[in-house]
Amino acid sequence: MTRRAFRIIMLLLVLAVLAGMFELPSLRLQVTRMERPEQTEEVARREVIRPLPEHGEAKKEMTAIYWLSEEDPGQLAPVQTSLPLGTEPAERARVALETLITGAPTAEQRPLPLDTTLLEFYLLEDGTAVADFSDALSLELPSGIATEQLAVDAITQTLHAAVPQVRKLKILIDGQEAETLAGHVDLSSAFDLTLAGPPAGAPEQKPDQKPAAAAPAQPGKAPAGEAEKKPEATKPGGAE
Amino acid sequence: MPVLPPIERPATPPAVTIILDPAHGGADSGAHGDPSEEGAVEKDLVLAIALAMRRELEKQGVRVVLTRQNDTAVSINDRAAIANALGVGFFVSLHIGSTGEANTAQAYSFGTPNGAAPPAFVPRPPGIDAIRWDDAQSGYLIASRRFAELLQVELAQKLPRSPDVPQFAEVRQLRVVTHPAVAIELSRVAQASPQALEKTAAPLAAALVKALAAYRQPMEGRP
Repeated sequence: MTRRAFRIIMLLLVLAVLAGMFELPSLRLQVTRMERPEQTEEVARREVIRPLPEHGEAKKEMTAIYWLSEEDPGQLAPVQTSLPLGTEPAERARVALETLITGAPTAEQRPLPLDTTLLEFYLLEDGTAVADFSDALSLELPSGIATEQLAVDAITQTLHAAVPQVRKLKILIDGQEAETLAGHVDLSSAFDLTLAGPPAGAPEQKPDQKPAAAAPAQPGKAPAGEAEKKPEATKPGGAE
Repeated sequence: MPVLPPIERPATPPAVTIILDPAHGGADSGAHGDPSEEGAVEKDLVLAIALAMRRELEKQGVRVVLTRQNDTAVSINDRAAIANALGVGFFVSLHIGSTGEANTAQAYSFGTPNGAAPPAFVPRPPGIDAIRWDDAQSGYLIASRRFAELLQVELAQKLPRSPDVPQFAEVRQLRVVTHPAVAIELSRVAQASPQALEKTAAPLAAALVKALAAYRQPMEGRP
């Protein structure tokens, strides 16, 4: 071997070592990244969807969140809660429904499974809203007529309080139409939110203070004509 | 004009038919107790209760049609098809819930929870004399509510601590049935001895018989 060839080989080796010094740390980084426990799709989605706290510039306002009653978990009890709802209907719906899912005072008062994610929310011009929930809503909700009806009522009434423009709500599970929520309650058609009457609770109430009439979640029967009126205008006995 | 033969009235009123619907079945096991242990599942309990109820009801002269007789999956629409093929009957869907006080029963008829109005039934277009499958129950809402009220009174007596009044719920199974239809949800699958629920078959059958007798009693002064 000539001296010249030896020098060239040594130079190449030195270059390779230098290149490795730059390349290896980034390779190592990639490996550690792959080794990290993979986030479930749901958690990842929720992180993307959940409004970031530093964006919470929206003015806080009071809205009723329909968790289960502390005394009687077979009933809903609206709790006036201060939330940065914002002005945009889809954003208001998202903030209120996320609070309904994750913000209950105790685990026993959750009407929806904690793993539930609101994947999408649309509001059409005619007041029909479409809420697309992750399948945790139907898979992890304890099956039963009572539990499923409470879950649907919690969603519709919380939405009705936070976004009065919504007149009808269609619930999707993982982007698909579902026949039932978890085997019992019908999801095939949209829920009429105007039947529930005006949103319960006055916005003047202090945070975390339960309204006195917590037990009856809905203020009685709405006359037939009520359904055709704008939610803002609903007043008992106020005929058109 | 052709003369019709005189109608022969039977000496005794015709037998009532109850369509008993043990919910779930097959891969759909319904509600279950603690998932970590091999606990009781709704589909097995409701089938056992329905079969025992059938024996009790047939003793009382009630015809019983079951929507499933073994651990098979029958769709909601197929169950309704079995029921709707019968001319006259009462539909009773049997469930066991995940919550509530042990060994009590709550009856439901179809409707929004506050009973304000039936949910999104589509109005029948003029000139069309057919009912949408999804709206099958629309003509029976009042009958079903009355049946549920009469039944709940009996349930409250036969199964102590049960509520006094029935509830409305948007139960998919009831929506597609063309009979007075109720769902009974027993509480609850996760209790100390779920097998105790099987003992509710006799009281449930007795409550149904009494409620049906009251339902078929002509009410005086009714419009």
